[in-house]
Amino acid sequence: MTMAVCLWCGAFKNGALNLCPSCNRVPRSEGDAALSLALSDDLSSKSSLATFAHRIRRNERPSVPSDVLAQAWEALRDPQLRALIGECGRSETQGSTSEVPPVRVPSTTLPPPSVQPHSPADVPLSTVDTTLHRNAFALLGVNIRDNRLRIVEAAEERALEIDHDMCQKARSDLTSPRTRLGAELAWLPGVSPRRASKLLSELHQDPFGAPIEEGVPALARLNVMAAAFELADGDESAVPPRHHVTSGVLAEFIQDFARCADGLSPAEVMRDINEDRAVSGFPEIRSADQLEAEFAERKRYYRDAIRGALNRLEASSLIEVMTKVVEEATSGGENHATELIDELVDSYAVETQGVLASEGENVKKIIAATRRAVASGEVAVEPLIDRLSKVVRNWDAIAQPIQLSSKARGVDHEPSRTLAYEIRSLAIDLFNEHDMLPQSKRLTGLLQEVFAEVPDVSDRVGEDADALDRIFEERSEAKARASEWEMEITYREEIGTFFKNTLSISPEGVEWKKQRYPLASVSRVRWGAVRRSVNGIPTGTTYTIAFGDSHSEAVFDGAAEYTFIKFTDKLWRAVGVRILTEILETLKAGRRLSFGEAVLHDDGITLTKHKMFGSNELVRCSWGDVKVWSADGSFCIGASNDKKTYVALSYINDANTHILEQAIHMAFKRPGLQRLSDLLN
Amino acid sequence: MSIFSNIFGGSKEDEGKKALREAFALIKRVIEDEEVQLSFVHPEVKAMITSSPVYDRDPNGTGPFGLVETNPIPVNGPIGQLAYLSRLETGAGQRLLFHRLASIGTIDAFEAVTWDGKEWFLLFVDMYHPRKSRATPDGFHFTQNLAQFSGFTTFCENFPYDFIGKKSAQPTSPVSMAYIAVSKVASQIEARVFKRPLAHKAKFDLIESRLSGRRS
Repeated sequence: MTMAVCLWCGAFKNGALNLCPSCNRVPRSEGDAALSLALSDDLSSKSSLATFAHRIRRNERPSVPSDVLAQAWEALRDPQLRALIGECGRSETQGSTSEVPPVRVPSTTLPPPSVQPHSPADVPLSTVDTTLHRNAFALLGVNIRDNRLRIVEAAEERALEIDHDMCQKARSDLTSPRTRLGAELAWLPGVSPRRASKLLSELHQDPFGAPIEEGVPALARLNVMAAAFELADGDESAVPPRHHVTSGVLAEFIQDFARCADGLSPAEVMRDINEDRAVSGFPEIRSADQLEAEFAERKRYYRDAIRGALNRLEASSLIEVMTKVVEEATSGGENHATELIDELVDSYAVETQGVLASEGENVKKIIAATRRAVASGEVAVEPLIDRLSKVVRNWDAIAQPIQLSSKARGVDHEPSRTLAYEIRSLAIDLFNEHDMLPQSKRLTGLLQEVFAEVPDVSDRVGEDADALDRIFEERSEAKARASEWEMEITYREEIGTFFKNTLSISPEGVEWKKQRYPLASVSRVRWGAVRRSVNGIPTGTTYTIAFGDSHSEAVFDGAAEYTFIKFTDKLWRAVGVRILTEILETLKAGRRLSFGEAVLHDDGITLTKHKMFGSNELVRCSWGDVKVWSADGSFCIGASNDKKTYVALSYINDANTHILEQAIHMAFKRPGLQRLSDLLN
Repeated sequence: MSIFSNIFGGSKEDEGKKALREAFALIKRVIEDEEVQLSFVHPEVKAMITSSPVYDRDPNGTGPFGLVETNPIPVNGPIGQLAYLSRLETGAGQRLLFHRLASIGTIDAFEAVTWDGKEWFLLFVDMYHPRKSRATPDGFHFTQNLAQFSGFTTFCENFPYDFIGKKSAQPTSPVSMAYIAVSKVASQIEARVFKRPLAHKAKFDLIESRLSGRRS
């Protein structure tokens, strides 16, 4: 077996890439792996290994010849070896206390010499792979104020540890005026080397923890935050360098980022870079215009970094974060969001287009199914509306950020609008064509709730909802009145000692001795009482109530006053008012009606002039020329100026006398009334 | 002419040819017929093998097929291992010499080298399946020639230089007859072209600590 020196602790171990039994660590990056192979007896002599071990234990960098490193890098090109490093790393870390799988990224720093505990915060900085860590300044370990000479030296030194070509490119990026600006903008301009190192360390330890200290320029702040997005992971079991982040924290972080990006000033960035360049000796930037292209690139990177973080979340969390961000950024769709948020929403809209289209199709299918089911009645429609509500709510959950953003920009989200109008159309048809008020109201309520952020829809649906509410209220009132009326007119009594007969009245009809008349068919009523006496001694009262249609009549005679009063009251309510109205409408139509000897006209009545000698004479009087009174169980109507001109209509024997009396009394209460039918107005 | 030869003693020659044909047929069946390959297995092991799932790749396997222990090649028993590995040919058209290092759990690890000695591999094989996988690891395909056996399911101390000795030491059986001719690799062995490269040693080291079972 190969003997090797552990690059972390300097102990000797078996196998260059195997777990070190002394410090329990394995090489994690490709650079570490290459160095480890170089520190093995396959590539180095035993005496060289002893020297390497000694230097590492003294926290010094082992000086490995470049040809040896080149051989190690060549060996690492073997795909099976690369695969096995991954597999072995997993199985070894699973078996040991370490939870950190090896990450094959270019090394940026030499490993710390001491043994570190295996907590997430103690993952070597070299394993953290973000755009910031891949920046040429980070790769070479130089700071933004180092001069050209220092950069070249650093590139040569680092070439011993990491890929030579990579070092050369980093050197070229930092020393060429054409590419240096891009590297500077992607680094931490305006930040001192000490503070830059602190920021990277904090980013590595807890990217979403403590806020970045005051005084860090906006661009540097944004670059650190964007790197944090690269480390974000929605998975709770995420292992470093990835960090688990909750939806709430991520939403907050995105908002902070967007605010910071909004405040980015090219002039300030130029000032910071020129201050650093004054120290490093590179020529100053003359105009902020030079920054324009690089700024566009930065924006694209920021957007991608945030999208990357969002895409590592569960779909539901992603929607939650987007909704929170847009809701806060637009104050619920009332204010314009920042440019970055708008761009994020636009990306989100593009990515969710397919899902929304497919859900929209489902909504349309359910609407079509509902229309087909309408013929089977509300029972068939209700479950479909339930389903529709569910699908529409799902749809809305996804579309919510876009709707809010559209509202803030003063436009309607067209797919929302189209969908809303499809549902509204169904709601209208359900009511107008099928009188399904409750289902129509449900749909309108759903639209109000779901499309509140689509102003056009919201307004229309608001009006619909008001109209439906009014109709619903009216119907409820009518229903209540009908119910009340039903109670008012219902009466039932069993009459008779041995043989019972039913006297009843209800919405179904009025009945005596199995003679039953539907209420609508009753066209005549009469009632009255006759007191009887023998030799002046009262022997009782007989109460008569009769009702019937144009063909027959049921006549009840009884002795109970209570029954009489109760039943006539109900009878009046049930049919009296209707018959009164029908009389007035008949008169209004110009027809005449006969009551006993009297003939009723709309504008008066024809009475009989009683003559002692000769036959009686008919006299037509206007309503202003008659008077009324009651006498001997009759309702009397007479001419005001001639007491012989009158008619007497028996309450108990003449049909509808009570109703006529009521009509004339009502008319007399209206001074100057010309026509009886004016009572209808 | 054939009529005469048939009349005058031609039948003896036929018997020899027939025996040879039968021997070749048996060798061919050992190399290619999976049922025959399973017939060499102990009945208890065979029962275990035949009750295992049939697939070309483990649906739960991870990592490159056949090149890591977490995604082994399913084959039918030890003769299935010989038959499968002997059929593999690299992109450069080179077949493999191989031997079994040991096992990691139920997975057997084989070390393999191309006949020209230029490429070295570790291959991971799971023999507890009713048939051989029809898939090949990345960079390999199946040879179009009759794939006579070119390795061992045992550990070779001086692999592959002891190939000739190991082959000669095998007792005569249908399996031993199914091996490649020594001449195919003798010149390379003589020229000592087989030298493990650094990457292969590192691979070997990585799995060494996890290998279990006797190297026999």
